[in-house]
Amino acid sequence: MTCREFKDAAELLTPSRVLRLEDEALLSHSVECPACGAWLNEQRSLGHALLTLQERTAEREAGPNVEATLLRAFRMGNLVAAPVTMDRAAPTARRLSRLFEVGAYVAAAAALLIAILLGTRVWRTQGEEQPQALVPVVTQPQSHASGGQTEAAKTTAPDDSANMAVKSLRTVATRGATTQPKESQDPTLAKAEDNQGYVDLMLCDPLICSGNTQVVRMELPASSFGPADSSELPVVADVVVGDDGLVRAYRIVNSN
Amino acid sequence: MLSDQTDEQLLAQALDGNEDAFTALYRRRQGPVYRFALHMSGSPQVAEEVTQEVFLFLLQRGRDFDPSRGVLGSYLFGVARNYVRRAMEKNYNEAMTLTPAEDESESLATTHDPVESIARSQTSTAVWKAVLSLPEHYREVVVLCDLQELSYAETAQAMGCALGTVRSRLHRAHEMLARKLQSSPPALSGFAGDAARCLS
Repeated sequence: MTCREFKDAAELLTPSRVLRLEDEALLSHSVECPACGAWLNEQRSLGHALLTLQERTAEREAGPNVEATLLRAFRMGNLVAAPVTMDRAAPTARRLSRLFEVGAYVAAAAALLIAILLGTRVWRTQGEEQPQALVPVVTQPQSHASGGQTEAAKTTAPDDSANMAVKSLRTVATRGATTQPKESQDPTLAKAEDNQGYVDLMLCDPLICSGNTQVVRMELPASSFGPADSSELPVVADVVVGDDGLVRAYRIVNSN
Repeated sequence: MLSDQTDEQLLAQALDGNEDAFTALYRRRQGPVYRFALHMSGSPQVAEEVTQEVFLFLLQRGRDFDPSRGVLGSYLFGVARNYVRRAMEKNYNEAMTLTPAEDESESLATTHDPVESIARSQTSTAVWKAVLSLPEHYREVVVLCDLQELSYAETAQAMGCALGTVRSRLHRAHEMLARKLQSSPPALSGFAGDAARCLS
């Protein structure tokens, strides 16, 4: 047996088990190898020492008061038994610490709830502000520079906008560019220079039309605005669409 | 007969309201639990408190015990070590106090040779102090493996760690204990035979 094998086998033994060692191979190697023999003797000494402690406390048990307390709690069905009477610090500090512990949990829960409510409120406020930036000023019917297109625009009903051939759609966020105070949405109060070229497609009653809108950039076939001509390029237009799906206004971005 | 039933069977009956089963289980298991807490803390008061808390916990949460994960004895030691830690955090000074007067009177009454009895008492006191001076995670393995004579597997279950961890900690703990005992001559004087010569 090598020293390595001896160590691997002997280390599995606790000192108390070393005292009862009967393995011939281990014993013979401990005689042959001084180092391993010394180690084994050290373990035996430790085993003896631990054995004295074990024997000293072998008969120690909990007092009869513990059993009585437990049985009392068992019979009453109340499993929170009275603490064992000891000449030690009162459990007041323990109760106080538990009270503080519960209070800390309640405070943390309240803070979390408040944070969620505030965050939701801020998020909603930001959501309401952003669409307002996209709402163009729709005051009075504006005529575009191109007469033919104006005529077509005036006659284009909200329903027709859904039937237009749309080649590409983009939502353009004109943040801040067309921001207008709510009062200016009233057709009687808005100024022409704030319109930014939009043509309203329907009379916009503030009670009906006040709401979130989006500006959608579309590419429309030129035929939508007049007789079909294969040489004409598509028309790009910005269309203001409300929550109800109805088009509020539009403007031509490029005129070909 | 209740004495023929396993710990798990007694526990199941106790949780169903059988007081005799609970009493049998308590009387069978309270000694090891008490001695574990006593060896860990050095305080009989802490040991009693821990014993009571462990069995109260068993009544309240006994249905959480899963027999497939190990034996009830190891489970109880696992619960006890948590309560011991909690108790010792509160009563650190008291936990380091032994009660040699009470122990010496017991040992003198049970032996015929007073000299040997005193020597063994001094040795056991020196060993106990050495054990109590170990860091907690080393002390646990010594108490469970060496004093309670649990197997490595049962100790690993009680401590909630791997088998290899138990072995390595035990090996280290034995090295530390051997050094401490070598530096305490009164402990060695109580030994008879080869052990004292080897360590001197």
